[in-house]
Amino acid sequence: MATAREIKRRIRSVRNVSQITRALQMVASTKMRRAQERVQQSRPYADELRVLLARLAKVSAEADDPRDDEPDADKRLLQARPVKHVGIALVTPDRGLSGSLTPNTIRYTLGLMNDLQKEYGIAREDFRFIAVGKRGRDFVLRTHLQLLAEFTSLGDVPSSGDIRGIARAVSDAFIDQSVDEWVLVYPKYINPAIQRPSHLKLLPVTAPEGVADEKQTDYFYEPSPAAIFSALLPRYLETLILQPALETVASFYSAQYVAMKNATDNAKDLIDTLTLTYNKARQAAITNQILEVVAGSGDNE
Amino acid sequence: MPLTVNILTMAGQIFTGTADEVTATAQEDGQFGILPGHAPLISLLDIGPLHIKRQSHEDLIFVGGGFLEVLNDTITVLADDAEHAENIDEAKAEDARRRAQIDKENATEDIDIAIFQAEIERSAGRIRVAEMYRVRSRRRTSSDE
Repeated sequence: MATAREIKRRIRSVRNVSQITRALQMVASTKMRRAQERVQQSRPYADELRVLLARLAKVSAEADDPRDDEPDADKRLLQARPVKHVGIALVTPDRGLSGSLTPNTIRYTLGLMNDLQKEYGIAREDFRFIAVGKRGRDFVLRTHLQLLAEFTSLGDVPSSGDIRGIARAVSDAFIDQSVDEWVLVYPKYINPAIQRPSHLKLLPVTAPEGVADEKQTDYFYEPSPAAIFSALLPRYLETLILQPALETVASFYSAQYVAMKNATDNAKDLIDTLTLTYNKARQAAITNQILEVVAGSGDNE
Repeated sequence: MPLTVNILTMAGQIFTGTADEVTATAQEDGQFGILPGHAPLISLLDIGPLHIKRQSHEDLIFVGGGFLEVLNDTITVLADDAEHAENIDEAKAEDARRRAQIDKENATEDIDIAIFQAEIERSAGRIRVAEMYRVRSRRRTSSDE
């Protein structure tokens, strides 16, 4: 049996660990709340933009001139073509200590790759990655998949400049035909206890559903539908990337909160068990000493 | 019936409320006004001020470009950037402008130059709107006396 002193040392070390996990837990809970707010604040803008795009897509499709055989860049973002290469924008946290969040997202990505390989009849080498976040980048490099670009250390509030950079990398690869379809994988934030890896299609742009069958309103367009459309498309792509990036931050802190709470609780249980063992060991030592004293005094009689 | 006005950015809602008249800055035609009963419209906004008039009160908001939609007396502005004039930190905007100026001079790629140029124009517009607000509130206090 371990000596009382050894057990005492273990108790102290477990207590130190639990102080760290508790501190992380509290930091995560504050940051989680703030990240959650940001997700909610950006939603109205993203929703409105989606509605506007759907309306304009209809108008510009009608105004489309079939003789126009040199489509400009914006039009090209709308055109579907046979898929030979699939791009995956993998959004993950930069850091760990967040339980199974990253492993789940990566498992989901692998599953999605399997599905896409079957659907398009392509191979594992036909995937191109843009990694947003260090965890995802490490996965791509470790498994020798093709990494086109990486964006790391975006922080808790991804700047519009960062997002614009990602959007540009995505649309460039689509326009120069090195990627025929872009999807984005991220841990979707459902609530503090649940984060579900999900994916959405980035390119080619498909008009969002739901607006398609609404009554057509005759708008005036200033200066023209085409000009508004080409200003709208990059914004639309940026919100499609920003929203998941914000949700990933919220998911990360929620997962970290839960993981750290579990660690703190476990540490508390461990301390209780160790304290019990320590008391037993101490008691045993005392009993031993008494026995020795009693035995010793018996000899003298 | 008054107009309903919503100004949204990616960072959240900047303004929500009613108005009798809204004046915005369009990309090609400059300032234009919207009164109740306006026809449905989708317009590209330039960097510039947005006035929201309600009776004798007027809100002044800086808009850094975006889209404006009018439908059934509801105005929705999707702004790339927006801020209440009274909240603008002029020193910070001036700082940002100067920094973008330096960045632009050091930039080599066309796309970077364009980004920094846009940043310069946005900061300059912000400062202009803040000045506009200062002048207006000074005039108001002097006319009160």
